[in-house]
Amino acid sequence: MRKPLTRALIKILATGFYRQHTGFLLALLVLVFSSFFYTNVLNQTHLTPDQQRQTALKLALSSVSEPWGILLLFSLFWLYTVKSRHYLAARLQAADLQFLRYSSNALSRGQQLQSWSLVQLVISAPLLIVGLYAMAVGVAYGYWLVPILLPVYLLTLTYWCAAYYTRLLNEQLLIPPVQTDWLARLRSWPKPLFSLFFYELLAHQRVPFALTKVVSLLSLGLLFYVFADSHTDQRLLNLLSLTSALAQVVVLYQAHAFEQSYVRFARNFPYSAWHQFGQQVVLYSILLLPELVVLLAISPFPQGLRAMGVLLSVTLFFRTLFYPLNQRMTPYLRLVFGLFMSFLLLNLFGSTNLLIGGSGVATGVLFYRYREQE
Amino acid sequence: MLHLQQFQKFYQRQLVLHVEEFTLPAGVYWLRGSNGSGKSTLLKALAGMISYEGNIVLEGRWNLRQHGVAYRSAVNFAEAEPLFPAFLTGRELIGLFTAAKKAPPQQEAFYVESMQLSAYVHEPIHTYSSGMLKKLALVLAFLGQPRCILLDEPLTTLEAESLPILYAWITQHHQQHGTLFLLSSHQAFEGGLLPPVQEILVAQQTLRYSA
Repeated sequence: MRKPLTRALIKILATGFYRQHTGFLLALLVLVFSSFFYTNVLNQTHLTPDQQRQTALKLALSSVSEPWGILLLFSLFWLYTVKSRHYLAARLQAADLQFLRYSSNALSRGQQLQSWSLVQLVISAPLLIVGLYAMAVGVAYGYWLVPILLPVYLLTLTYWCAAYYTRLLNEQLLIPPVQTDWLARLRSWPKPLFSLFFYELLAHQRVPFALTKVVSLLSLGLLFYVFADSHTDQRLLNLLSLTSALAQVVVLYQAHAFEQSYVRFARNFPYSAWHQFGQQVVLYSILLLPELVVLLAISPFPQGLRAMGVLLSVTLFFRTLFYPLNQRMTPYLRLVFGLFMSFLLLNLFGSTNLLIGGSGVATGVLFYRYREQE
Repeated sequence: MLHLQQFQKFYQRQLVLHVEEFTLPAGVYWLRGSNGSGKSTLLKALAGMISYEGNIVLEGRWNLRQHGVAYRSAVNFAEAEPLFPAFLTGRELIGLFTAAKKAPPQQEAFYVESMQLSAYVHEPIHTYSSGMLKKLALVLAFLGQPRCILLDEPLTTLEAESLPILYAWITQHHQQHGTLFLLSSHQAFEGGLLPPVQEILVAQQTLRYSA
């Protein structure tokens, strides 16, 4: 950690990775890891304390004792590593990191490998925590395979990534733009100003965008399935909308970052605040089209329409919160989760109009007041 | 004419620029100042791109705060280090600016041709070198019917052969339309190729004409 290269790489790349993926990591923590660490089951008074502990640790125990559980755990580690490897490889192509191509490679290969391994380990911190927990559970219950294999597996993955980054920089390798032919086909499509972020998603942010859609649509399906008796209840539809709006957080962050850097020139365009706001509404109507269609399809028309209003207005509200906060993700997430909980409460009392109107007005005020803030 | 009244710009509650009263009649101005003195900040504020306190009025008619649309129609800007979406082609970007600035049809043809951009204007931005990108940004700054053009470091990364072309555009625009030019640069502008250039110094968080 005392090495300047390691310090710089962690500061630039690991921090950047966590900042960009905070939404997903939090969602992962809430949806997957929290259950993995401890599954709280109600009505377990008939169980002995030992049985209760075993029930609570069922997921973690399965991951060290059952073949499918082990496979799932190792697959999760693999997917996370591949995702972080893609992120870092792409970042190394960026203009602001070109200095690494004529500075870091002056160090010996061993030193570079060491630095990159540490960076990869820092990025894999969530995996280390989950891994250590699984190993502890394995040792405690006498399942030795995972505690022995997992460190070797993690170290192999880390070395695999570190060697790749070192090779990219030492052999001056450039990753060719992906699917240029596919993108070339989009060249004939019209690209009005509001649509630029949509094309950016298609060109450079396909994975986060696809994952957002999967998470969003899965949560819609799951909630709809769980509350099978309340399909016409406006509050359930609003709950679906709110969950879906929350799932968009990563894409909203990408939208703000893209606007601040690559569409900065448009601030000099002679468009009124209303015109710019209208462009945002059109953009998010397109981005949320799958969710909006699902909401309308699964509910009676008037309720579906109101749920669509909730989804669009709350998403736009979450988007405009970035203007006063800029790209400070931690306060942003705190605020968004706080608002989400408040909106859930409001929804319980059936305040659909307040949700739509309040979010709409707040969006307008924030947009008008802070859109020129740097 | 560009007029600043009680202009102030803060970054994180720290005063960066304070201009009580300052008037720039139509002309060509060279904005000088050390790194970090606030030249780019001033130009961005004048372009209507960042928030500020006070008033910026163009030709006594268009206050940026009250007539933002009309003001931005008349004021164009080229950044020192332009950044555009990598997947757009130069032609698509010109299309966006033409529509926004209500440029006459085919207006860009002259600029694209004279700056020798024709060969790669159909290519995506990610294939451009920094010099090519700079030339494109300069072309975009001349589209429409600007009354004022702000160029931040226009000479940086521009090849020597392109400098007389840029100077000719400035001279022609100024002479034909009375356009006000505000250029920031660390290099001196070559005498003879441009109309008389007045120097403005950005120092000690304010502006003043150089003696």
